[in-house]
Amino acid sequence: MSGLQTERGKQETVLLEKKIESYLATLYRIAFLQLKNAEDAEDVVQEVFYQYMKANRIFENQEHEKAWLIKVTLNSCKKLWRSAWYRHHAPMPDMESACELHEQEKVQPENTYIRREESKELMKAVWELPDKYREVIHLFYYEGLSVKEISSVCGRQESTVTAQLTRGRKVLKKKLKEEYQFE
Amino acid sequence: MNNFGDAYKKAVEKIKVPVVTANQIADEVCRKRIAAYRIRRQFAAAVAAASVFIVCSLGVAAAAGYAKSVIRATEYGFETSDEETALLNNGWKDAGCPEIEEETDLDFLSARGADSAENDTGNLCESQKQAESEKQESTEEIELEEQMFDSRDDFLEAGLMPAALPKEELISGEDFSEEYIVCGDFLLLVRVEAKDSLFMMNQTYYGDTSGHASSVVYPEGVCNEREYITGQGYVYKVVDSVCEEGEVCRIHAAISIGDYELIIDFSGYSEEEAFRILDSMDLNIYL
Repeated sequence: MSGLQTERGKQETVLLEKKIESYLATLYRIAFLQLKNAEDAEDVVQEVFYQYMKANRIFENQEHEKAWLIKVTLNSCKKLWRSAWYRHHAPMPDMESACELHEQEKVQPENTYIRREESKELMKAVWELPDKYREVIHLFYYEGLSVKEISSVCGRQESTVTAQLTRGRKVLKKKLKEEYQFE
Repeated sequence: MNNFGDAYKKAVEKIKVPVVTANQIADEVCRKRIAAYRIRRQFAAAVAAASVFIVCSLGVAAAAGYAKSVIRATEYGFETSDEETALLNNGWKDAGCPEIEEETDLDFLSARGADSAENDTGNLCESQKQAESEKQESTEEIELEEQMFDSRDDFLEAGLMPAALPKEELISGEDFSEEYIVCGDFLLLVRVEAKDSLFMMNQTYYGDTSGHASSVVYPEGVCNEREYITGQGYVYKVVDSVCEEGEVCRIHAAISIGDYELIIDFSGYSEEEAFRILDSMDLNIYL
């Protein structure tokens, strides 16, 4: 019996490694943007994968699985926000060290500087959004989720998501001085 | 004009993603099991203190007076008892009995999951088992009436028991809420929460007993044992709960005064703020 368990354990480890490979970047970036702190984001991601293994759920398809993981990530971030300790001692966000240079940028430093500054300005504008607007902006523009999918993941009505997207865009347009076109 | 969606994707992709492995998740599972086990121990200790067990010495008549409490900081919190019980317990613990073993099986992905920690009974040596059964023979089970108040004024107006509450302005704040729970005539639980902070006080009266023993367990473990002397000259034993990052996340203080014991927990307060709150509590009312 212990032999079977060990074999099953190995298979499940391989499966978990695959899930980590597939979803780590997505979930980490969501957590990082919510918490604005690399260490807390990493803790949340580990918690999410722990919950994934503990739940041992069967998903209809990959989209369903991804939506579930995103939902758990957002809920874990909220749980951390709610802790009195976090609210009292939330660390300052560190965008500079959180971002890395791509290989191409390392070769062309002058373009790197301009692009990096533009990215920083854009990220700063998004980070300064209220939490709920930032959530929907990220899920819509980066994850490519539809309003319906976002409403399911975030537990809000579609009309609320639409309103939050609209208001988020309005705030960003003002902060970014109309330099970007929003679809 | 740049497209926001494209620019945002490029910006987000610059965010460094750390390496996370299945082994790290396995460690997380083990840590959760241990934490769950500690929480169950804490709950059991709280239930014991709150209502059910009053430890009485076999063959001893009703108490003529309360034996002074001894408060000891342990690896996970506080242990309190009367002096005689403390002496007996310390002798027993010095006998070299093993600690309860935590489950460290790394085969975390088996179907057992975290609930298997419930089956962890540890290894108790014979003298511990004997002492445990002797304690149970001499205990008495009592059902308690519970009353709850959601404001300080209502609690004080009821006049059920003395309580050295801190100055309101030191523990209030945005999104303020408070709860006062009185169990029987000897236990008071106070919880005052604001947006960024949480103050909890557990007050127990032992005047009607000839001996007692209780413990408080904090899942993260405690450290930095020290004493704080208030402006009135009373001495609290103080410890900290430390989070995984090594930062102090909660401060705990305990004191025995007259026939009462206080266990106080501060969350979201600095040490200076916590000590100011302790100073504002008039402990003379217990004497």
